[in-house]
Amino acid sequence: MEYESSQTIYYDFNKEAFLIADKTKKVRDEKKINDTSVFREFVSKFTANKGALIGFFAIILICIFALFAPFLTPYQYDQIQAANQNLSPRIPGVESLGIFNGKIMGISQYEKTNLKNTYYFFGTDTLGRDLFARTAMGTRISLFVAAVAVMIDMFIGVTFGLVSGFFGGVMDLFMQRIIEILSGIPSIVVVTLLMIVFKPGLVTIILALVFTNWIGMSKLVRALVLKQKEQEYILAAKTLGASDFSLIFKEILPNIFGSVIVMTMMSIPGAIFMESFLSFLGLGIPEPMASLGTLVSTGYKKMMIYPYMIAIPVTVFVILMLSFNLVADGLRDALDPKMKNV
Amino acid sequence: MIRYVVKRTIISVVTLLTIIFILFLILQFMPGSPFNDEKLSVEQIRILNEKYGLDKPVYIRFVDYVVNICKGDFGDSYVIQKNMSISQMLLSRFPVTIQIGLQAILIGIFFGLFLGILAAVWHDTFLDPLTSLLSMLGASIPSYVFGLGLMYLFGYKWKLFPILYSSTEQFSSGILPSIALSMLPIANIARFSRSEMVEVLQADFIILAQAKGLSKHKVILKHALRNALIPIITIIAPMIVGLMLGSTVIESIYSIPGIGNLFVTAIQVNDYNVVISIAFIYSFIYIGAMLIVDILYGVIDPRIRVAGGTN
Repeated sequence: MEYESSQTIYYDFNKEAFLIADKTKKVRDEKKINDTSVFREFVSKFTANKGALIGFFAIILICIFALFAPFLTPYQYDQIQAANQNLSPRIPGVESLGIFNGKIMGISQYEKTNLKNTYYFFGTDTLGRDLFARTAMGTRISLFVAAVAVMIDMFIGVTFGLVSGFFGGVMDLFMQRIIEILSGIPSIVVVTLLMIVFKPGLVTIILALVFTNWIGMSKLVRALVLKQKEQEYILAAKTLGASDFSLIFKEILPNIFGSVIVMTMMSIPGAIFMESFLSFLGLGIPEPMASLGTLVSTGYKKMMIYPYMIAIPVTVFVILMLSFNLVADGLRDALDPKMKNV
Repeated sequence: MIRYVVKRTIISVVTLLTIIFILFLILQFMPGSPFNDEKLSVEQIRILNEKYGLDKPVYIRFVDYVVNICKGDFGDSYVIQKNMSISQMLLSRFPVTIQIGLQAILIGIFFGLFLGILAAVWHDTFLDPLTSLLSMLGASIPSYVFGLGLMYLFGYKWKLFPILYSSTEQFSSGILPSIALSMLPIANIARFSRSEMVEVLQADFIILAQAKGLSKHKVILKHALRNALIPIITIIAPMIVGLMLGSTVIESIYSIPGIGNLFVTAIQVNDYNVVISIAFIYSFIYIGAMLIVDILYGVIDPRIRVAGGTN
């Protein structure tokens, strides 16, 4: 306004209101800025989320169990002992508390068969195999299958999405039509057909999981790349003469990596879930190997008489799923809060 | 709008044809032939092949296959019920599957929305973390675990409901499987509607409605919920896949004579013809649902059809 600009404003400073800075003292503002590295910020955000933290430790515990539990029991996961079948869980020390005492409806299964000094921590199955070792083995395989499938997924999805999003044009159009058609096939159909054509086994299951999961990843990566391509730093890099190679790997990839990690974490529970469904349909890991899904599906046939056979693998399974979901949510909130409802 | 609808329809048809082609290939390259009786002479096999058109070139057989599928003829079952027409098997099993599926969806929508609204409206109280925990549990526990748990508690321990499905007590024995199947929809809808509701509740028109002095439930149900409901349409198609997956297992646990149960049996006894027919039906339902959802969404939200619907 004219009125204001025509006036000249003088500010009066009161000298006493200011102090000369003491240069020997550290200035806190600078320190603060230096301290918040990206990683630390992520850690502090992640640890502030109690659910995610609990999930994280639960996953570590389950991993430790899966890795080291077979050493705690003298039995092998595939060792059949017909005499010791259908024994319920019995753990030394805990048995005096009234749980895990090897009794079904008050009758000790161990005394019946003269096994007073034998302890099966999680009981045995209908073939007399130690369920403790089998649960550990099953957890191992379930985790392995999910981890490998998700890794391959990430690789294929990121490559596909990057190429499609970055280069655009006819290639993008073509790739997007492929995606559109593939995503129209329900996952249950893809998976069962694959399992029918190939023999059920570890590799087939991983393949089936990869087939159903990579599409989501590539869609996400493409959308992210398209968004990043519009940013000014890409324009700057291009102006400076950066090659496509360095644009992709040095500029875009580091910027979308957080979201990719979150997406990967989020698809782990899905993969475990799918694997268990396949096992339940009889398309899972063949015997004598076990996964959590096969343990549940064999346990359920005897559920009414021996509930422990299903209760234990289900408990491990549910804790695993819940923890992965919690950690994925925590990661999302810490790394990429915008990515909701994916 | 017409262009958009045509485009989506073409994509759906192409997808369906691709699926039929893959299914056809699998049938072609499966080991064994329909006539592997040792008593048949070479001449007899030739005559049989001629009778069923199996001596024609592959592309003609493919066209025949597509035409037959369009007519609703999926061929015969080889193992489960020998020489029984698959379409008849499917037709007699459809009503149960649809009944259970619909019940599950209704339960899912009702409780899912209820939980979602609860969490969104009181999102600074304990209700919000509680419902998000519940929905996370629902998403983490497979439906068969719910199914087995419900069966064990309500069927076996407390004897409130029949343990297995029976066609004489269709309603009461269908309750447990429907509840077990509805857990995933509940979790999904609750999660989704919560975040939508939270967003909508901060919109200006809600503040206006409150400022006008409308009662709280009127603001929530009439103004907020209606707008929050629109994006929920997008999760319907993925939910249907989840239900298919769930129904296969739930139906075999409760021995419900539905499509899912037939699918599992067919997989286990290697009745390829049945497996492939059901795979086609599942794909058809899924693609149909996606098409309807896309078109509906295009009608409701014009931005989608302008952008080409790739989002």
